[in-house]
Amino acid sequence: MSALLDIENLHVAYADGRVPVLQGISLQLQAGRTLGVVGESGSGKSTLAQALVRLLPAGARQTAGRVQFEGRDLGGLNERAMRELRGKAMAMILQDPLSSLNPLLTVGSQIAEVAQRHLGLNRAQAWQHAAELLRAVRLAEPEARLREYPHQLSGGMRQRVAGAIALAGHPQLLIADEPTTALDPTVQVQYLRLLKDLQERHGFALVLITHDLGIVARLCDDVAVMYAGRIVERGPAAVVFGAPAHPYTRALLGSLPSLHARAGALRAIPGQPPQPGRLPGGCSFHPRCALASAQCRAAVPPLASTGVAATACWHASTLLPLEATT
Amino acid sequence: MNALRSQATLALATWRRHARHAPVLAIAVLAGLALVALGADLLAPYPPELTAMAHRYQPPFWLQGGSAAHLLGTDHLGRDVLSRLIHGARISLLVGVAAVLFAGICGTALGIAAGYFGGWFDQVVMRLVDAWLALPSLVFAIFLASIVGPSTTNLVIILGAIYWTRYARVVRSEVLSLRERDYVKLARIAGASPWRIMSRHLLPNVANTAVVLATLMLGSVVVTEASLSFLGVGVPPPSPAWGLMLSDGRKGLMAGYWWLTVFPGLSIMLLVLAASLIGDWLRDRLDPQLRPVQ
Repeated sequence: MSALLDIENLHVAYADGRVPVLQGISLQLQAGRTLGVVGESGSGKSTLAQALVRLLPAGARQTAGRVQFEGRDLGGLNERAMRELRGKAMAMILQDPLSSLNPLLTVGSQIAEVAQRHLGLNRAQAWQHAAELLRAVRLAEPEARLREYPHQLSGGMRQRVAGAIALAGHPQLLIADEPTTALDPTVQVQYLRLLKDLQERHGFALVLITHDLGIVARLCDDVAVMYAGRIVERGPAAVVFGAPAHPYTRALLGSLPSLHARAGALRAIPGQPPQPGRLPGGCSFHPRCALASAQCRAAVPPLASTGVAATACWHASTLLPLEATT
Repeated sequence: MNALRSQATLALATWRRHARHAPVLAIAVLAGLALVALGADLLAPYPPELTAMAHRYQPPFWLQGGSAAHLLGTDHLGRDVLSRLIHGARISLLVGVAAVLFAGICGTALGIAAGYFGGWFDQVVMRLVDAWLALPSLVFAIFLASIVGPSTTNLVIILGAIYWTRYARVVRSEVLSLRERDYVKLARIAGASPWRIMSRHLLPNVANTAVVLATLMLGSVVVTEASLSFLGVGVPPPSPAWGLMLSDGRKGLMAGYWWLTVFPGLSIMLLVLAASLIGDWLRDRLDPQLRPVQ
């Protein structure tokens, strides 16, 4: 079965290719599956999302690699064909519900706009569709909400509206870039549950970008752990979290606060993530890694298979299975 | 019933809050001038171009030699100053508003496009604006007027051609920040065309700025129009433009016929002052960062 999304050796760099942000990302996503992309700030998660919809910020450029969607190379599409694909085939939810909606347009017209464009509906049908979408994202009184402006809604409601807009064109791929970071914890859980329900009903594939490992563990089929623009570990979520092979993944899991452990100091990973453009030679994680050896400082470890998962660490084979992360 | 009354109270309170600090006098002056301009044919006691050589240089009615027939006196051709002022209001406002609209449409469109597309188009437009602004506007206007010749339509086009640059600059800088907002990014991700993004997401969001700019600019445009008319390259005589009246009256100034220059001068000042005050107030009102704390 060919993948819905097939990313191969994707390189993206800022400043005319001088500052690499993504270095050789390879990922596959099957239709209807959920992929979690985790990493610290600056690891390139959001750039990856922008590269997927081919809307990199000014100054950023894809320098190598290939992104295929339904077997079509997106690099070969012109702007018009790409516009056709966006919204209809792929959609996105961003982090900030405050700025995701145009303050001057009603909720209804913003949803209907997408439906009119991509589903070929007339105005009345599009509004009808918008009301159904608001019901699908579980907003009370959808007909009344349609005529309201974004400032009349709470943050959680706005993020639901953003979800409704994303779903308006019946996309096959939904990219959610930290969709719950700006929401209250209680609302976060509701929203994620909603996303999962919508996925079951509509069958879209979901790329969930987050730094919250708990979310990934609960929602995602597969996970890709990113560090400094590279995927350091990749595989089914149960395997990666159950038996993490990369020291960075272990450190991430180890830094999670636990209900069972005594309250006290958090176990943080020592040091800072490297800045793009000033990566250390060899494995980017070696300055913060307890296992770093001369080989780690000299050469970048390839993403090598460890059975069902894959990891990029010279010491992966010699690492003992981690007993307990909590 | 009670609900209705409380709603009315609320509406009144909202209106009061919005109306606070409103320059009532300036609004009244501008509204008055607009009414005068609209009803010039009814209000003016004489046709503005009617000459009466027997009644040349009559002073205003309160001076010796003045009469109630010509409240503000007559000029060197015996034309009624009050009638000419009233008709002049029509010309000034018409030319002013038309020029501001023309400049606003061109400048806003170019500003939005330059800000949104960026790249070479932005460079070309903004360098053009820089070059435009480097020229002294009045000299440039005289140059243009001497090419196309004097007529009211030409004047509107010339004034628009001079003032579009300010719109382009301000609107572009606004668009530069707007286009980084998530809803603009999401519109692109949703596959909206550039035209759609500019007309639906950018234009409404710069409308506030454009309105404020238009009001503030009305004053400058009126002054420039008067200057051009004064210099003889604006509204062609014998139209009763205020600048033209100033120019005609200048000859009589040394002879003591002050009413020929003072009244049109005052009219220009009133209109410009009113437009500026309203513009300042609108800017404060529509900019949430400057809005007085409630």
